[in-house]
Amino acid sequence: MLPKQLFYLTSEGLQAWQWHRGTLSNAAVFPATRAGIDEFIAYLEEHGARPAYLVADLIEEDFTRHLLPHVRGRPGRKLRARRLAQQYRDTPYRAALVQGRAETGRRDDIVLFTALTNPAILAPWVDAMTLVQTPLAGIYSATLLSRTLLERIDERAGDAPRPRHQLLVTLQSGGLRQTYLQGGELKFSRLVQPGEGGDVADTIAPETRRTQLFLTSVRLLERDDMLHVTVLVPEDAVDELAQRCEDGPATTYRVLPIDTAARALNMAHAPVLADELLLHVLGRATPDSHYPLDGKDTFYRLWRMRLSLYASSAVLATMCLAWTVANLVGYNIAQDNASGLRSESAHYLAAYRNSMSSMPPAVSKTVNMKAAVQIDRMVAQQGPWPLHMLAMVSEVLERSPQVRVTQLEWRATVPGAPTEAATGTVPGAMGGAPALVAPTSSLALGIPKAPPQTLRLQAEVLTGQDNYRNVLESMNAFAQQLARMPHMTVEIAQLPFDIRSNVKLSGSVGVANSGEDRSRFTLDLVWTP
Amino acid sequence: MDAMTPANPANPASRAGARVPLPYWVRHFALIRPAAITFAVTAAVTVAAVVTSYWKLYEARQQELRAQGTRDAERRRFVHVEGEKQDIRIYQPLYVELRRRGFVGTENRLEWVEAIRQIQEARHLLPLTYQIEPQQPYRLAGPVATGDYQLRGSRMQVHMDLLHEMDLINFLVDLRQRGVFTVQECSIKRTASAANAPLAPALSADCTLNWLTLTTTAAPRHQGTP
Repeated sequence: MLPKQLFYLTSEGLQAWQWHRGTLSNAAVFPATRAGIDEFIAYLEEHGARPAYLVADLIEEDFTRHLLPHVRGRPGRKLRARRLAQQYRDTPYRAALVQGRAETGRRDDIVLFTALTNPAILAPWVDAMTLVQTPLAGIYSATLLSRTLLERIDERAGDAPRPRHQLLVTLQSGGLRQTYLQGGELKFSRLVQPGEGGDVADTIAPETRRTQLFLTSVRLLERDDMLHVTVLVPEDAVDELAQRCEDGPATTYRVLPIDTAARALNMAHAPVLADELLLHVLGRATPDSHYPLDGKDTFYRLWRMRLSLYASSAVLATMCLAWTVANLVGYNIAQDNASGLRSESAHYLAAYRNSMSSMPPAVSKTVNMKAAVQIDRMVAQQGPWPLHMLAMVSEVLERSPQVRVTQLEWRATVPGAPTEAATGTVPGAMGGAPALVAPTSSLALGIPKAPPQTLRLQAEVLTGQDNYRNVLESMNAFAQQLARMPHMTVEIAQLPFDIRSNVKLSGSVGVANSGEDRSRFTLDLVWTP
Repeated sequence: MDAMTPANPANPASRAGARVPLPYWVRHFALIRPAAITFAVTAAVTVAAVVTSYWKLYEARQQELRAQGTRDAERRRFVHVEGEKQDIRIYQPLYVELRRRGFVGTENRLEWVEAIRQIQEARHLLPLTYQIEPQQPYRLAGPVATGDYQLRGSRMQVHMDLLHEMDLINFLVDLRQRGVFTVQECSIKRTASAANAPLAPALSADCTLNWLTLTTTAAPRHQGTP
């Protein structure tokens, strides 16, 4: 926990404490005079830029209870701020505490308005802090801190249920503080100044009765409600005070030594007054400021920004340093591995060269030679070659003397190859400028497998005039012989004449050369090697 | 400190010239300057250290990967050295023959043209015409080992008048002895003037051939002799 400065302000002066490692030390007291302010400025300049927390324990502190419509969020905050400003228009040190909702009616919010009604008491001290750029973290009410103090004492006492009506009586620098809590929520507090030469012990019981009467009058207490009074006094005064504070029909006293509260707060030493108890509560918990600071926390925000920057620098440096070290370690490991691998490579290379020294010098790399030979073999064995199909057709033609071929169109079929129209590579089209074409698939070369080949065969049947039946039979016999070739499919593309029932058929008989065109036919052959 | 003086909103003149107050941390920047400088310097130095060291690490890992690849390749080559010897004994003579035929190396169109002329003269073929298109790379369809070579081809279209269909067949067979090519398509037609004269062409043929060469990727393309 970072060191901080805790200030306890009363009407008479200001106590300054240094909070370090959970303990208060170096107390200094400054009277509320011009000289005291100057000494305080010197004190602040001496103790540097530690964040400061100011606790106000003043008589001029007011509490009022209100029921406000239950409005959530920003509108609710605006409503409370507006009502608060109407209630306490002369002081900036005001706050509204929502303490729950009413049980009946429209269930309004129960709001406690509290304010330090005389800001002039705080002004010189706050101005002094601003002058020396002390980071003022917050301004706190000793009364509101008393609630936390009583909670700690009750937690220390055990698991017994907390009474509904509690009155905490503490002896502080400002006087005798009586703080009333209902259901654990602060409702009212008053600071009583003992008279000149008066005994505080004599003051507690009458002032408690007076407070109880007031609470009853403002209907915070009913007449038959039991008020549980907790009195914190020094150890040596406990017995005497316990005798003087007698329980009544509506009052129960619990006189505790201040040591009990000190132990509840894990303090090393018990203080004489409750001031240190409240400062300890503040030092340990550091709650948000009870009152708005309205720009007086500029230097505190700068202090936090400075702290954040330094902390961020430290975190960033640590992380990046760790990352850098990890990178460098990985770099060294990778370098070592690469060095080892290079040594192995050199070893294998030397062994390889030693083994190859008995061979004559190679004309090229082995992989290149092997690839060239294998590609040449593939082209020779699988590359499209028209003589295979022509040989098969020739063989059938020898057995069909009445058939005469008039035209052959052979082609290697390549899937996805550009069409003739697209490339302009129609056989015989020798003219025109050569054009670049897209890369062709190696399937056209028989790599890696032989492509199918097609042959369009146009032929005619040499037969007698008007002997249509003989023409058809010769064509069919020719086509069937071709179809019997291995891996060959035959499709009749054009008949000598169409004798199907669904097409028109016309002709003449007895006219010279009338059947010449009727003897021509076209076959489409596909051979898949 | 004009910037800190709030303008009077009721005065239009002052509203027109009103300035937005500087943020508190700008006004008091001197208080956080050492921390800001510390943060900036720390961030710059540490980020630079991380980036530099990461870059060095990346480079070292890349070198390690390359060294590992080289080591693996050298080891494989050594393990298969006997097989490689056998391959050299088998393939080197064939490879030398392919190089002689012009299949390996830069394209030699002059050789092809001379081969066509010599075949035409030797076979007493009728005059023929040809056209060779610019060389193009082939797109390999499948995993085919090519070594350091790229398979390229030049499409040639040939038009021939034939006395007999065997003229075409003999032409293709003879041409195949002079280079590596495949036939893409071929059409043979019976001509109308077949019976008019004794040496008139009976047939005409149009064929498309693909002359093939294996060239290294960086090899320059030229038409002269190798």
